[in-house]
Amino acid sequence: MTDRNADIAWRSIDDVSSAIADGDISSVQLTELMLERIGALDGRLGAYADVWVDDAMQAARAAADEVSSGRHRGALHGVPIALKDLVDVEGKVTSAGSKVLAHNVATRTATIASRLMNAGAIVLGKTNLVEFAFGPTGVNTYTGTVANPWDPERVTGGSSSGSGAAVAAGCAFGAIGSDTGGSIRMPASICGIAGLKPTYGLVPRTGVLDLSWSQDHVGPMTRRAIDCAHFMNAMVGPDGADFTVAHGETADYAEQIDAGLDGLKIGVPKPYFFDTDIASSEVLAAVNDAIALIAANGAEVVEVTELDFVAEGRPINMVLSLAEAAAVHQELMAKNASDYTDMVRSRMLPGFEISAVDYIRSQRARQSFGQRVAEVTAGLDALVTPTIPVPTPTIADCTPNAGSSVAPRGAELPLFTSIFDVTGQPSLSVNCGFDANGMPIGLMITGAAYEDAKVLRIGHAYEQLSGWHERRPSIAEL
Amino acid sequence: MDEHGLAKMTETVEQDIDPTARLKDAALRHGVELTSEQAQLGAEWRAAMVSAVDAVRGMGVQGCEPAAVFNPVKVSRRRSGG
Repeated sequence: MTDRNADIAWRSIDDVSSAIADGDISSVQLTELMLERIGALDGRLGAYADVWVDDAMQAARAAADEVSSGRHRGALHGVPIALKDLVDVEGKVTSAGSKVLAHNVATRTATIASRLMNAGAIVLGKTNLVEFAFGPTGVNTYTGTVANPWDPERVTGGSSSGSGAAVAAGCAFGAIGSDTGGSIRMPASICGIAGLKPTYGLVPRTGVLDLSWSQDHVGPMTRRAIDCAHFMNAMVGPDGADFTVAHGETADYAEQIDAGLDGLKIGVPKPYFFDTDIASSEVLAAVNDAIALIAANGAEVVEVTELDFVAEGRPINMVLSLAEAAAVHQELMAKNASDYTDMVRSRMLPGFEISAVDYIRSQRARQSFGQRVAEVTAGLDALVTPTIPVPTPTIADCTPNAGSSVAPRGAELPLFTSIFDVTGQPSLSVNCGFDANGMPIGLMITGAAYEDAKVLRIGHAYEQLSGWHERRPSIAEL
Repeated sequence: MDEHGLAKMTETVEQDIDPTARLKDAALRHGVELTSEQAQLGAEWRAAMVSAVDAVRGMGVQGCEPAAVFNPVKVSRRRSGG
């Protein structure tokens, strides 16, 4: 592989899109490059569940023909991407990383997959995940655990583990993830990329396997915040099938992304995220450096002390997730309990004991919680916090010992991210440095509902100032 | 029995519960038949669920109704000939 080609693999979607439109590179060359990188790297990473060489090349040739005939669909035209293996594509297996669905051939294509393909994106294949997206670390004892490109002994974070690793290793320009307790932002943080959990109700989930439908969010994982904006432009809006999707006009998520930090008021919620012993000093040091950089470049940064109740979001997230997952999986588990991995079946089972009264109480508590968070943060453009409170654990530490379903580490990973699955606010993770082991640390930027464009603008501005997103894992240098 | 007594009794009952048997029964009520080992592994997670449910029970929720996500399906009526 030439240096020039290797460099192309790391360019932004804006850059490669312009190169495609100008005829400097074709979608066929780009797709061949990605497939070559997957062939060279994925044996060590295990990021992909399935690679669609023939389909991808056919789509790439069609995209190239369109450009030759003068039609360019936009930023994603001819750009190779990947889908988490819980997104349906007609005729392809959606396994959700489980033996239970190993032969589950989809009979329809998910709305977001159709929209991305209609925008000209080239789908390289499906990425691995935690079984049924139910776990924060990335460990999957059925498919095998995806290795982190920054250190293959350490977890990628989950559940969108393969999407995180594929993008971080330059084996896709972006990938789809899903987030119920942090499953886009945790792997984005740990793999050193950008990951956006959009506002609940912006992106249709039709054709995406449910875990906890009232908290499931589908969103993009890319190497830069601006690339997430291009995904959003292709994905948002009602589809007539997912009735949780808000109706109305949608924004251009890339239009204001270069507007910088001037005039923005950014809150630092001290209780829980900073002032407890949850977050490690190493993580807090990197995040505080990021906040200082933001403050020095135009934003007004203020401490927020009134979010002292925010820990209440954790049990609400847990009760809703367990009860809804039990409802989603009841029929499958009645037929195939032994085909679930011990780890995931064990985590799901307590959901069967939650009463209807407690589930409804949790939904009411969620409503109250969201209202209180909105009241306290009114007047702020965003909150900034760590994405994950601790340095990245090893795969061994996150794997249960024989005779147990509980691993020594991992439960602490979603303590911060899950708060905003409860409120449904847009929340982005971007890289803000590295720990002593050379593992990325994430900065989480969370905005008001439907202010996804502003969250991306802040993330993009921070990336331009810090440059952390330009670092590449050494394993990925071919 | 006063409120305190009831709480104390509830606490005692909770302590007497065999979490593995409780989980196995709950799953069976939903058609999920578990081996003893599967139920035992699941019981390792039960304490976290009980603690989360208890925490939510302690939160004030009066007057906070979740938004209903229900859209009636529109049916276009055909005009009859008459």
